[in-house]
Amino acid sequence: MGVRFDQVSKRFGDVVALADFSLDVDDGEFMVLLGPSGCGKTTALRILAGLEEPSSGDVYIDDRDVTAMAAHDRDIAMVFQNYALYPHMSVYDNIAFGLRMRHIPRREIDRLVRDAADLLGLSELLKRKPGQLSGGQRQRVALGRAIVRRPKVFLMDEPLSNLDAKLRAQTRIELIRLHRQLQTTVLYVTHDQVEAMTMGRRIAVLERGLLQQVGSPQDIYERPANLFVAEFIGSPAMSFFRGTPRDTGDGGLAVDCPSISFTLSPAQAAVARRASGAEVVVGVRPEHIEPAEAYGERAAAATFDAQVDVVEMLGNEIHATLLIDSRGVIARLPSDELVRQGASQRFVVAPEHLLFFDPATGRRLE
Amino acid sequence: MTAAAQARARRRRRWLQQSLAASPFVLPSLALFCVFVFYPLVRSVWLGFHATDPFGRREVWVGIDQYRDVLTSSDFRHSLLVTGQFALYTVVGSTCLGLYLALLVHRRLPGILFFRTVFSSTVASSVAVSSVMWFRLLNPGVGVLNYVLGKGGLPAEEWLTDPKWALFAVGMTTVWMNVGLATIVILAGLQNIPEELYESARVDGARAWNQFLHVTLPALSPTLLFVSVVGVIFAFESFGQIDILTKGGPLDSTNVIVYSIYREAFLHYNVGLASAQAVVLFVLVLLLTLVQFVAAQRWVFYR
Repeated sequence: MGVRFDQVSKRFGDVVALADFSLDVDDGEFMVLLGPSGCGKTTALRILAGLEEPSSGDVYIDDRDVTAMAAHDRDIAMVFQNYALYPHMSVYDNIAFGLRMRHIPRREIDRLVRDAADLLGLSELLKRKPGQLSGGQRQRVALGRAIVRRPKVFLMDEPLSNLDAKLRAQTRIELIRLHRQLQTTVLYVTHDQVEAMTMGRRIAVLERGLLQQVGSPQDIYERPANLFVAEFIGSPAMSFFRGTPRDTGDGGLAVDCPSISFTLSPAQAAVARRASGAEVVVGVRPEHIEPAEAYGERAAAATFDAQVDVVEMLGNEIHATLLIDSRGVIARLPSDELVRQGASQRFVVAPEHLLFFDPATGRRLE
Repeated sequence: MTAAAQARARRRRRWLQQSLAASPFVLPSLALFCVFVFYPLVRSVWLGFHATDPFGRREVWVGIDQYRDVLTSSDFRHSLLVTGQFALYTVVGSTCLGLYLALLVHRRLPGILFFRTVFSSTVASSVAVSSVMWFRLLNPGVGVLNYVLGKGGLPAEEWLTDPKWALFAVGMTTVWMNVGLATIVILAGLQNIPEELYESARVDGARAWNQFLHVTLPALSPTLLFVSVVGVIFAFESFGQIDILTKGGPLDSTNVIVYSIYREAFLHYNVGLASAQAVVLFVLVLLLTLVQFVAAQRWVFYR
């Protein structure tokens, strides 16, 4: 057992930062807490670190209740967003500090610090001060300070957000490799879904202090629990169409939305019928919208005419903003696809991956 | 003309233009400095080379005689010792007390603003007012200090008239006067330390004392250097409280250099000798400040 949050809540005055948060993290698991800013993910991390006291609920590390334990007794290490390196200490002393505080013999400290520096490629920089390092190097020192103690849990609070895009991608891979090597439980906080999808074995999505869904990256992408998760995960975002189901007479079901109508398969119809009210929300990922001319003879879930408003070229693919009436819907197309900016064209929605949500509760229907 | 020479000429012209544009901004303060600092300084050095009659007139060139007298006189050495002791009391006292008070009011608590104001309020009281106030407090007969000590079972002392206590009492008064500024400056320094450093230290296993030692003190070192340099300079130029409380006595036990200069110049009318003393004092303070800065490079960390 790695880490467990048991109905943890945290209030700051009238603001509820975290409400009834329960989460089990397995030993050695890489768990990502994902959500927009102010969703409570950092609060959860800080409560586990012992930097913040929960208003109610308990926190366990290795099945031990640590709720009342001071931060320095919890055997965790944390990487802060701005690294929080001690500016007056050399890289060596920064990494060694946690060991010194634990009264580890000097020779042992030296060995551990040099091992960690080797692992992170910091051996040449041990005498430097943080002020003389680049952003990426500082980030590695912060990591070194965390791994050198071999803690039970690593806590990382948006550790890559201060790096440029290229370095971030590189460090992401290094982190994945590091985790595979160390096999230590990691709780990783981020608002970046790419980081979450690529690094997390599981992702916990939070919003407004509430846990929305916990699952593998694939789970979260393909079976989002509700409208928030569906919209938040995936870039460009999923498009939603709200409409009224209508029986087509032959046992099938159609969903009529303004200027677009979806024809559902029998299995999908059964799902869509579970909506509590008269309406249902249909979710379509951008990769499931295609130009009609390239689509071929297969049955489509919907066909619609739209004006191609903006075409964004990304090299390997293009994102086209299509105007259906005056509403923008984004389609993700292979770059060789023929869409002409400004033209009115016919598009289809592939039937297989439609998602259905109950507009009253926001939950996905299944 | 070669291209290099042309470039040089152009640079010189631009420098001249910039200097011309800057001069109206510099002149007012330069004028004040000249009248009240540079001229008196040069004049003091010059006076130090001249003996004066008891009315402060008739200047006779005596070369370095007076400087030699100052450096060899046991009175001056005594004054130097007293000044050093006074500086030690006041710098250590006001820096440590200021640090302690600043740490006390650093945390965010309801009503903390009141205490911040109280602790820094002495910065707003003049030397004369503070001295008169402490003169009362230290009074052996009706003073509060002896009354409180008496309640605690401690003997009453003749604070300002006992050579054993006078310098300590004046030092205590000065610490009280300086601690307001020290508290304000150190509090500002404390509030500049990023909170994450403490959090990081906590996660790293540092308890309160180690956080203070490894986070607070290093981050505060430039501030503490500033407070102690200013404290030393204050100590060397303290005059008002000594004039009001002890007049250099008893038995010269509080006769710091500035006070002895004052006595030499305005009671004995020996302006030449006083000037020589002043110049020596100037050089001493300059050296001491330099030493402080150099020594500080070892342990002061500027971010």
